[in-house]
Amino acid sequence: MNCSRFETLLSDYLEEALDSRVRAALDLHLQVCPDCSSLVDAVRSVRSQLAELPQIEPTEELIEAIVEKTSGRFRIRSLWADLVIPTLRPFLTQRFAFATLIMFVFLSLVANVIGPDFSAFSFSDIRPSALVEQADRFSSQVQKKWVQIRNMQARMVGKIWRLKEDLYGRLDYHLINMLLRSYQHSIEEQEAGKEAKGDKKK
Amino acid sequence: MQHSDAKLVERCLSGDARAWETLVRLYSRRILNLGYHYTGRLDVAEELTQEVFLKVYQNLRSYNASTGSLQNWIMRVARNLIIDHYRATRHDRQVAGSEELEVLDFEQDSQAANPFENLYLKEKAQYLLRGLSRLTPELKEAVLLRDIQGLSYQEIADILEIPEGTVKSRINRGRIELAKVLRKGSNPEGSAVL
Repeated sequence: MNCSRFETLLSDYLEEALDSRVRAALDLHLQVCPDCSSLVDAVRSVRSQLAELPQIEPTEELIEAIVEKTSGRFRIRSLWADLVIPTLRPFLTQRFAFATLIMFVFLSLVANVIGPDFSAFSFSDIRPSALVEQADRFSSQVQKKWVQIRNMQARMVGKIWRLKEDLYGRLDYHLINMLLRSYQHSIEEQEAGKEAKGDKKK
Repeated sequence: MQHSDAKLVERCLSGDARAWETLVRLYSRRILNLGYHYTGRLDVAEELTQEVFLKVYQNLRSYNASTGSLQNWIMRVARNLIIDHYRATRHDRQVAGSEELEVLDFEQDSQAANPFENLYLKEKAQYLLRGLSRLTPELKEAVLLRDIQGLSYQEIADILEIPEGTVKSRINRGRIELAKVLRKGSNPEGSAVL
């Protein structure tokens, strides 16, 4: 056994793929050849280090890119992921969910007070003729309410006008009274002055 | 195995997108790692993986289950593309002077218990990839397929389309060559390969 022959059989030796006779010959050579002995250790170490090299896991993005590039399966999902999700994302928050809940409760309360009465609901109510009838009734109710509001507004305006006129009338009365009083007062002062002059002449 | 391969391919050819996705998920890891360990760059390996599957998708009709396993057929496509890439970029590498290796962090690897160990594993991987880059393409692919991918001699012979004896010889020469290359450089494991 020489070194060149040993090198040729080295991998078979390490993988234990040699028959016992050849293996014994190699073992014998190793005992007397430090170079080959060192090479065996080196190759053994290389093999174990290669086996320990970390394996990379393909990312989900890579898988999707491959599938999209080939079968295009992720195209619809991409449309969903690219358009729908980003559009909805701002709304998919805890704050938005809480605000929606509050709004729902508020609208439920409002609907409970002024909304339709669902307890008296029957399927005959959703016939086209019934719907037209309801719409007609609803519109006439709205019109009545509107007229009532207009009348109420007119009455309020009338009242305000009357109050205003009354107020102005009262003000006018007081002003005229004040003017008359001051006029009367000045006349009395003039007469008093004349009388005093007459007494002096006498 | 080959029966299930044929079935999977049949489903893919009939337009079953889920079957194609299954096929991609089954083999993408192996191809990605082959590309990464061959080129030493993750971005290149990812590009090559995409190209491999594009080629596989276009030529799926030519796969014949009676001539071998689907894995070997896909690996053969991958190997040919990787070799083509190696040849196409040889000039760039010669101009650059050395391989620009990209060694990944092993933080997600359970082996790396702490940052020091992570650094050590990273250095060790870099050292091995650098050593591999010094081998000829024939020796490198044989060593990669056997010692990293863990394929049998028969499978490697099927992928490389060469006799099993030649495969054994290349692997043996590749290992010895790599050990000698690493012996010249500094080894993170100290005297392990000396």
